[in-house]
Amino acid sequence: MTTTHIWFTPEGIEDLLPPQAEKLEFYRRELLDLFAASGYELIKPPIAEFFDSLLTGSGQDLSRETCTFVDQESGRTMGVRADTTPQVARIAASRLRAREGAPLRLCYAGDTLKARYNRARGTRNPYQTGVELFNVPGKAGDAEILLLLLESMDALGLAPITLSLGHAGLIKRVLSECSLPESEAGVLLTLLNRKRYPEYQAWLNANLHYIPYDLQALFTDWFELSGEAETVIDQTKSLLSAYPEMVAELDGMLDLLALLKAAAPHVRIFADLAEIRGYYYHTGLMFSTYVVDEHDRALVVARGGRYDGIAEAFDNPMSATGFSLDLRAVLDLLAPVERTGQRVWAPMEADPQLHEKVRDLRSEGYEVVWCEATPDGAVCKLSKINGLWTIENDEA
Amino acid sequence: MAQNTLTIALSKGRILKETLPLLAAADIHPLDDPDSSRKLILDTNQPHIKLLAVRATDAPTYVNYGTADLGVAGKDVLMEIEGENLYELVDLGIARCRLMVAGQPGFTPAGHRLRVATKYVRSAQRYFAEKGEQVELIKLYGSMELAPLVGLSDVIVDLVDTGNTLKANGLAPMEHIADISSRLIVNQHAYKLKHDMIRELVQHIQEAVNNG
Repeated sequence: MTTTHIWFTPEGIEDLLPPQAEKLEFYRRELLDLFAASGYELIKPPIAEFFDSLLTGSGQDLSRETCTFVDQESGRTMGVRADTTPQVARIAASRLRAREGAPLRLCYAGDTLKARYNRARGTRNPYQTGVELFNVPGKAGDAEILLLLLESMDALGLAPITLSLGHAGLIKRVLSECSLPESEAGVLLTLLNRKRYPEYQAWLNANLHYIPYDLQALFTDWFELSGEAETVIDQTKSLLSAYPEMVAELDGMLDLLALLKAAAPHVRIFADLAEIRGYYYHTGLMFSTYVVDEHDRALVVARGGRYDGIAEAFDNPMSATGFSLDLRAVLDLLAPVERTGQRVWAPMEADPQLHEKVRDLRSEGYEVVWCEATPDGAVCKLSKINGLWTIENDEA
Repeated sequence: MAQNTLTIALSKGRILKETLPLLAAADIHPLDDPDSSRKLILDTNQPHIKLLAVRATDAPTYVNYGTADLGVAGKDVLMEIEGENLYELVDLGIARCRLMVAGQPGFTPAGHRLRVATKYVRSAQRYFAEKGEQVELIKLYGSMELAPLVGLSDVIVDLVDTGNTLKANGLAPMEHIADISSRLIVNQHAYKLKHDMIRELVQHIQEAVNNG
């Protein structure tokens, strides 16, 4: 038996080698610099913590996605984070001034781990980079996060971008107006999730009596409510005209569109008001950004949305929205990063002037490498000429 | 990087043959005769639309990964996969059949856990679980009818079209699990990025299905 297998990594877990790793680091810094310049403070939640706290306020899906083990110190179950957002929410609610209701802007970047590997959905070990905005409720918070999301796409050099909007809060309100039994609501969400239109039509015919007359037109046209954002929102407004509160929410989305169009005129904005991804977790506006790759294949870049439901989970009156992306998953879409520093070889000698020169060159941006003997093919090396350490360039 | 191409994955044979008239309704015609061509990427009269010839069970995989924007897949295949990246927009009403439990007429359970031979492991498991019955599943890739005859399983879960294969092997359909037909599936991301093109295509196909 060979021993090759001992350096195989588990399914979906991959090493990042020099050009790729540097690329990830470069764009990580670009994003974190942008977040800092927008007023967001960096936090570093731990890679692992108690399983219960990792799941607080999150959807049920996260428990199946989290790798667990027993803490030898306490005997309690610990987990490796599968998503950073609940950690940030926990920190905001329990340790930072979100308790006092003041706005709080946090950002993070780090590894996460998924218990299962969903190949079509991306990596098993996402390098999750994102922001969370607490206590800026409603439209103001949504707008701030969306503007930062679009700027992040710029920082990554991604264009053209499609921004897709959905609204979990609106769907929750529509369902609360209906007297659907829980089991039928569950079936409805499954059908919406896969846009199973044929089954949906049959379901609607069988369940129409649960739906108030004023909402029946919306249910009939629900699958049509996707496309260019403004058109879709206008269409939905007319379908919900009996519900002024929901119309006001949609007007808020139109205001938001006007703002986004002014800030980022080239972004195509799409809306799908039958979208229920993240329905259980999100409570308001949800959004995601998409690009195509060189094969014209459609790919998701970042996702986010409002999740005011954590207020209940942490028994703390706070609102929250944010977005994140997996840098590892989008790495192939990003432009390569060139190493800019000119390589210079330095002979290792006990000469104080040499060591001073090396420090100077490095701070000027040169890449200085020590050597005993200058290697073959070296272009630049340090030599002492007339008592001064000087770069000798063989090419010149 | 133009967001203007559409790729459709479908399998050669029955599904392709029955899908072509629907595609024709959307003015999509393959340039080569798909039956005689050995090409796996088929160009069409519309330069931005390509067809991929894949194995029937692979169509959802191509769509799930976004390699194909759309595809045609049997409900039987869709019930077996966990694909979270796709929508099932249209029932094409083609390749119709039923997923059924079948066995030897007069079969009575021997008392041990029911042994079920099938290619459709998840669907079979879900069906019996919903009945509150835990069964032992035996995964087979074909010739399911053989299993009860030679004692490999008590019953089978398989697609039944005319029922002639069952009859020829002395088996009879016992329980109906689901009606099966082919669906037009769409990648969720493509649905957003290439929405107008996809909606137009879906509309034409839906109309052709309704009129057919």
